[in-house]
Amino acid sequence: MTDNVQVFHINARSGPAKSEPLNVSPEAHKRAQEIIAQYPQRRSAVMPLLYIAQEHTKYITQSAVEWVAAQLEMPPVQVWEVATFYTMYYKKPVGQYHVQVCRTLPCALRGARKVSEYFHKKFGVQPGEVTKDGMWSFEEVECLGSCGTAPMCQINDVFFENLTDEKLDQIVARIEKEKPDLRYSTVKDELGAGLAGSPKSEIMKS
Amino acid sequence: MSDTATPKQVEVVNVTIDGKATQVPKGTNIIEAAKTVDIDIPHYCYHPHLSIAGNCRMCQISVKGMPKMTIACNTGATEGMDVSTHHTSKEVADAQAATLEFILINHPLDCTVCDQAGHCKLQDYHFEYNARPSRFVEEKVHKIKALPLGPTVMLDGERCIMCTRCVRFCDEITKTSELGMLNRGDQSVIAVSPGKELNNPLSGSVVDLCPVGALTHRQWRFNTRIWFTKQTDSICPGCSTGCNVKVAERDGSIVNVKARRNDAVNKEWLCDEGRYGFERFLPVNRVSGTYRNIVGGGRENVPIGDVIHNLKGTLKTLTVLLSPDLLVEEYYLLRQLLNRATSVGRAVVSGYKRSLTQREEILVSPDYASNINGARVVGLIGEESDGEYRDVLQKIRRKEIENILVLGDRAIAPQDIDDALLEGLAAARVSVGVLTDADSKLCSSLGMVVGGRSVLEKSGLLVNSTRRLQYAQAVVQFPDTSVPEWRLLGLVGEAAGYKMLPVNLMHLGDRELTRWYLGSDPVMSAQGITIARIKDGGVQLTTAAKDASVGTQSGLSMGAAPAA
Repeated sequence: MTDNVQVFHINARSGPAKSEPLNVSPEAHKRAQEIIAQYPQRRSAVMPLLYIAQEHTKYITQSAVEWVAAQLEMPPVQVWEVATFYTMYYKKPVGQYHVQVCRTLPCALRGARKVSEYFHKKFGVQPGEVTKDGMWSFEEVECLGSCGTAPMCQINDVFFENLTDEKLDQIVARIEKEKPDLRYSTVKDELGAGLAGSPKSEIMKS
Repeated sequence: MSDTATPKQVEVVNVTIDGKATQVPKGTNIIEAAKTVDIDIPHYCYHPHLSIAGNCRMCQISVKGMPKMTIACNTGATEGMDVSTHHTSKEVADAQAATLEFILINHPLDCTVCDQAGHCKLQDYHFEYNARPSRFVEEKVHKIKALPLGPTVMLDGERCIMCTRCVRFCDEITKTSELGMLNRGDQSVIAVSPGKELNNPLSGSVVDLCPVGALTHRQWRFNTRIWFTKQTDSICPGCSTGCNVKVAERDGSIVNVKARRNDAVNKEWLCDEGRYGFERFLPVNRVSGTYRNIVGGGRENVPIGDVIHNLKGTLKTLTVLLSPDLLVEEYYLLRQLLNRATSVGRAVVSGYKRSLTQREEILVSPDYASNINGARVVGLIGEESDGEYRDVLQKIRRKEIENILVLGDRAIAPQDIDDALLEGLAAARVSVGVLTDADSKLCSSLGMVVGGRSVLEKSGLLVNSTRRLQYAQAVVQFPDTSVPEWRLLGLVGEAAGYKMLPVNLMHLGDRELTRWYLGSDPVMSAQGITIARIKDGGVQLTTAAKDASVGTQSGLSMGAAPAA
């Protein structure tokens, strides 16, 4: 892994990936309308709707941007601005389990670099790449808001904290064996079951 | 309940800025309030005609009673507010220097190859508010270079300081929303909407708005340094909106056109057609000198005296076709000449109507007639003049007109030129044209052709679609042999015994002509209008001036002097 890892950024030349038109499920559409109704302005619902689109397309494609823009009656470029601002919206295909390693100062001081190196060696891919079997991908991101338990990472939508190499070995081995659902569904408004017998997240257990 | 018909009284508040007291409407932002006492607060992202973004942090001020410094653009004036700017507060000056240092951290400092150098706000403000060498030794963030955003504009991502003026312009003014800011932090970059390009009728305006060299005109990249050009404040002759422009000229060609701020006319916008097509008003091949077309083919050079001799006897029945972009002075001079000669002929101005798209309507007027209202203001033509013009063309086609004078290249619209018209012109007893474009079909059909001056080579007055009187300055040096329309009219008048202009015509300049007009036209002299007043944003003509032209039937009776 090179020394100077950049957080994945969208080049001004490349827009979102081209794709087939987005067909959202009826319950997703219903949920979207419920969310939009919560706000005085439709455009305020841009973030939850991007999540809904991402549940369908796995990452934010051109048609996902256009669907959100059409729902919210706002220019597509402004949806794309929001999608590129936040790291939790994926702008290119990710693995079934996408690891985001926090690299902001507290985590960096507590060894985030080693966490990144761990995934790099374990998966044999560079940040932003997907393993050949489509299982894993990883990238470095800015603060995930769990500085008290640094170093930490987020796999799909679940936090894994106070990481050490041993702990990471266990987490990766169990995920590969159990194939747990680590995603948060905006449509269902609930987090997946997570690893059996484990709290969904050390900070989400309350 | 208050009467809705009465406008709400805006409360005026007292504000002190750097110890200078001023009164402004409540809520006026401090940048504008400071302007009233001649204090200039530096800013990048603020623009008076766009929404407030407040992201450049350059306009910081200190307000008494507020714990921290604040930004002037987003601070509304309240009663008793006591503001210190960088002029009086070292704290503010230091903060601005630090802000500038941050803005410049990732700026490539490639002024040596940047088109903006010489008219760049980063350069200007650095000299004024920081003027220290860079302390940044780390590697700068690299971003996209030379990305075409559309047919007209090129982006250099590294030079951009993320003020988002261009984004706001496309969102708020053209409402096309082509641009956005992607990513976050030091990786932010301006980009076009996915699958679109920056392509609207006002797209070039984002380059004017860009305070740095991030957005440049594709048409004018790398052509010259701005300090080698001659920059002139003028008026765009493209349509009757009369946008205020600053034109840079070098070696006879137009190398840059910028919008000039005039809140009553074009705010600070300019359409692409006007901007990138500015040079279309300069002839590619120009008519030089004066010549006569010989019947049966060929032409011979003749002295201007022959033209004058031919015209002076025809004044009583002369039909004059005029370009809609001649000067007010010229329309007035012609009107005076026809009055004195008690002419029964007629003067018509070509209409040049056009249809507009919804986006063009933001700025563009539905015509190509920059000064047709000038002809109306001096009473040369009436409000509805298109029928008169068509009527004259028909009569020429039927060879019913004997004496014809064509003034200016656009006196006959290109789409109106057909074989019958050219034959009619050739068949006239006297037909004279003042033209610049040697490729025009008129050049070989008229009896005599005088090499004139294009609209970019004459200084004088224009009246726009809202009847605002503006001063257009010549942006290109005219050739010595050229004879402007007003000089020909003056010489013909003198030869016919009507001396209208005060001094020797061959030594009269555009400026003296304008001064003569302002003193001579009762409408102008009654209001005490001077060139200086017109140059300062233009003069809105009163309804009296409008009434002066209304009711004067075009060309039918030239006997009456224009009403004062």
